[in-house]
Amino acid sequence: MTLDPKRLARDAKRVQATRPAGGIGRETTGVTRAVRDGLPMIRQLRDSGITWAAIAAAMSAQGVTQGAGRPLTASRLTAIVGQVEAQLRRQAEQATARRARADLAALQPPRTSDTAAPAPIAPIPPASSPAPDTTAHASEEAIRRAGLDALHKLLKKA
Amino acid sequence: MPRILLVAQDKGGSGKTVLVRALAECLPTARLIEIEAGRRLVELDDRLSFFPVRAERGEIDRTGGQAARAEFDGVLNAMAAAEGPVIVDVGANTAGSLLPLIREAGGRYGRRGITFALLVVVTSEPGALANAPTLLDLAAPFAAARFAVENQVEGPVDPAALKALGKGVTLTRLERLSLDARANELLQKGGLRFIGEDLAGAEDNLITQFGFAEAGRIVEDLTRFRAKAMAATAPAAAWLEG
Repeated sequence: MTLDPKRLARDAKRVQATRPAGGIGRETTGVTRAVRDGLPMIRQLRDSGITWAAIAAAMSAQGVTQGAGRPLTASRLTAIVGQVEAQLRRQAEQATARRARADLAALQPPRTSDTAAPAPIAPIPPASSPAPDTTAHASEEAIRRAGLDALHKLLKKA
Repeated sequence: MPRILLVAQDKGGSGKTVLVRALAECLPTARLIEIEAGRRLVELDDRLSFFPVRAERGEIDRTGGQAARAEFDGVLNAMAAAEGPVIVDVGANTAGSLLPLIREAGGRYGRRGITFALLVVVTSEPGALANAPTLLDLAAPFAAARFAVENQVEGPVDPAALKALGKGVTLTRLERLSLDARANELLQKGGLRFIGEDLAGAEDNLITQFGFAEAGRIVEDLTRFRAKAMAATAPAAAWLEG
């Protein structure tokens, strides 16, 4: 079977255009994307003493729901925040490691916009500590949140 | 009248956080304060205020000890702002420093109508066994009630040592339970909250995942463990409720 190159390019671009810009994993609902987009504000609200439950209720009021239109719960919100932060940390680590590779730096060809190479990702500082070394390993909190998220998924898996 | 229950044991690994979780189950409306190096009670985020300890060594050096003196300011302020029952998870190696500060401020807290109690976890581990009476003594001048939970996770505690805790201390026991390995894994990931809120409704999912027999053990073991932990903290929860 032969491929139609023009059709392939057209279809691939169409699919690409419908994918989320963040490119992190598979998103089955809009909650993860909403959390990622609103993460700085969510953290700012938490730092000012607003409870997770209040933030979840406010997000639900804007249509960010879980499952079949059910209001977003505080525990679900914190699980997703932990997951998104862990993803961002991993991305930052990978980007740092990629930049540090001498072999890639020497071989890297000049890029054009058509090659669609991933844009450099700025390192995301940890939420609570400014020490740069802490980005190298997952924090206790991130590990616990990932475990809690895995548990929620297990309990809801049919 | 806000009541604050301090849950303490300066030796790590004594099961203190399990008992904090059990208290949170007994009193679903209580707020929680966690004083730890890192957040542990992530499943209770909607009820929790977290205060990291301890002050950075570099900061202490730079400020000539001021940072060390101020490191509990956030905790002391949060307790002063209490409006209802509050459970405080005092992290390992922290109670010995925090309790004297509360004692010093005891009169000022009293004028705000705030009363304190202390719950200490006792295990047969020598460090935990030695620390328990020290903390109970530290709290005696300001605590309206004092509780001790004998956690038999490392075996039964010497009865003489328990008796030496004093007559004014309400003592309860958390027996060692053998949990199904998978149940223990879920417990480590989710604490006690999901057992009360989600487990019964998820039994069919667990059966699909692990089979009928193991799912049954998981549900039974976790439910039993939660009930035992809540029973061990019941007197303290009753005090907290007022």
